[in-house]
Amino acid sequence: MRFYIVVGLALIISSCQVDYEDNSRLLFKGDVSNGLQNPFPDLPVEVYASTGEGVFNFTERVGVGKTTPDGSFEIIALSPKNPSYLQLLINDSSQEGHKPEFGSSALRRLDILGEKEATYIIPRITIDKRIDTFLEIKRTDNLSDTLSFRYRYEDADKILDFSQRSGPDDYENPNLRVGSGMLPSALDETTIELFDLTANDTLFLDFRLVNGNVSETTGVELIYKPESDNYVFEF
Amino acid sequence: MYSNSKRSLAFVLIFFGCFTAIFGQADEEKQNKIYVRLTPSFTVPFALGDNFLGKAYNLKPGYLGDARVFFPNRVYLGIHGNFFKADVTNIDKVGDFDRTNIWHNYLTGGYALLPRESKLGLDAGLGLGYTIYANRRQNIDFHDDGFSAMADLHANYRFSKVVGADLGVQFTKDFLTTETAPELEKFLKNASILYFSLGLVIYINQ
Repeated sequence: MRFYIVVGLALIISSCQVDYEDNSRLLFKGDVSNGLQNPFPDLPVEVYASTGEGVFNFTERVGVGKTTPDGSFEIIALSPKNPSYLQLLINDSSQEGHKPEFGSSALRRLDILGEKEATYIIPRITIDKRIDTFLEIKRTDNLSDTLSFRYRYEDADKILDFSQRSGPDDYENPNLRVGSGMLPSALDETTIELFDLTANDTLFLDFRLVNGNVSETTGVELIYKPESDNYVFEF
Repeated sequence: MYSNSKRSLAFVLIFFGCFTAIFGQADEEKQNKIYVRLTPSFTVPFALGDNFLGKAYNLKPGYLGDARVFFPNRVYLGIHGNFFKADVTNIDKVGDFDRTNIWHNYLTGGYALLPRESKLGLDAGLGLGYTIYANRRQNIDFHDDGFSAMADLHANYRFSKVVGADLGVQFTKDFLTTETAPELEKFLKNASILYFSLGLVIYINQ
């Protein structure tokens, strides 16, 4: 009986391994820039293939490379045979040569993008300095309403999951940091600490002004201010 | 006394005449027979050119086996196989695996530039065949294969009727069937190798 269990497990495990096509290589092309759209050279880039997301999920690295001085990369990778989930990592902490002062990107389910002539074209990736900063909310015009707000920003270690795209060139990042707060009418300003986000990234702020009646929620996108090293919202 | 000497001389002349005739005929017959040369060798391969083998591999010494059947007109036909191992030193040029075993097998043909009776031999030949690159890393196991052509020049010296030594140089061009992006085809589908070999020669029916 034990023999059959061992053989059965061995068969299950071996059937879950990634197999590779003979006489075949894939090419992954893309480029990386910082938040100011300048090319980002010398970042490690790796491609992984996995058999799925279940219990017996095997993941193997299939291609390795670096961004060139013009920020582009071309990764030559093995071609998985069985249906595989493809993932591309840029500057991940597990990678050799990774720069810890900068953020990272994990592009999941690249297989959904589809290949053309054995080539995957990756949308432009933005990676910039990992920073801790502040959100300053100041009262300038409105002196009577209470401000209720909710903010969100992408973690410096970004996840771009192509199985959760909201549009053909857009994606949703499940790795978001969110917070909320309130500025009572008695206070003129408040400061909120923001941790581990990417310099030059946009911060999203949803707010509503309350004065007896609840107003509609409005959203704004706040741009990072390098000169003062913070985000500022004035109302 | 004189007649005895004469008789003896006549006997010796007849004997040598017969001997020469018999063995001369044997030599002539031998010249018209085919003979075989077997050459196991030790090889040192070098990758040439701007291609995956030249840019991503460290080639290790290997082995070569060659069998040639020489015809009376000095033309030969044969079979040739060689094998060597290679370590991947630059995985970003080929994909993520770490070693490859490389095999070549050919049908060969060529010409002996020096006559059969000479102890020194010099042959030039060509081969057409098949190559396979068996790629490995832990549980990763796949291959690239394709057509291969080669040209070689071998010098050998015969120490005895059956044993000699061989020194060779060989150029191999591989045309792999790898399917990939158009801009990578030239890089991943071609390989050129220059071998130097040193080996033993076994002569059969030389």
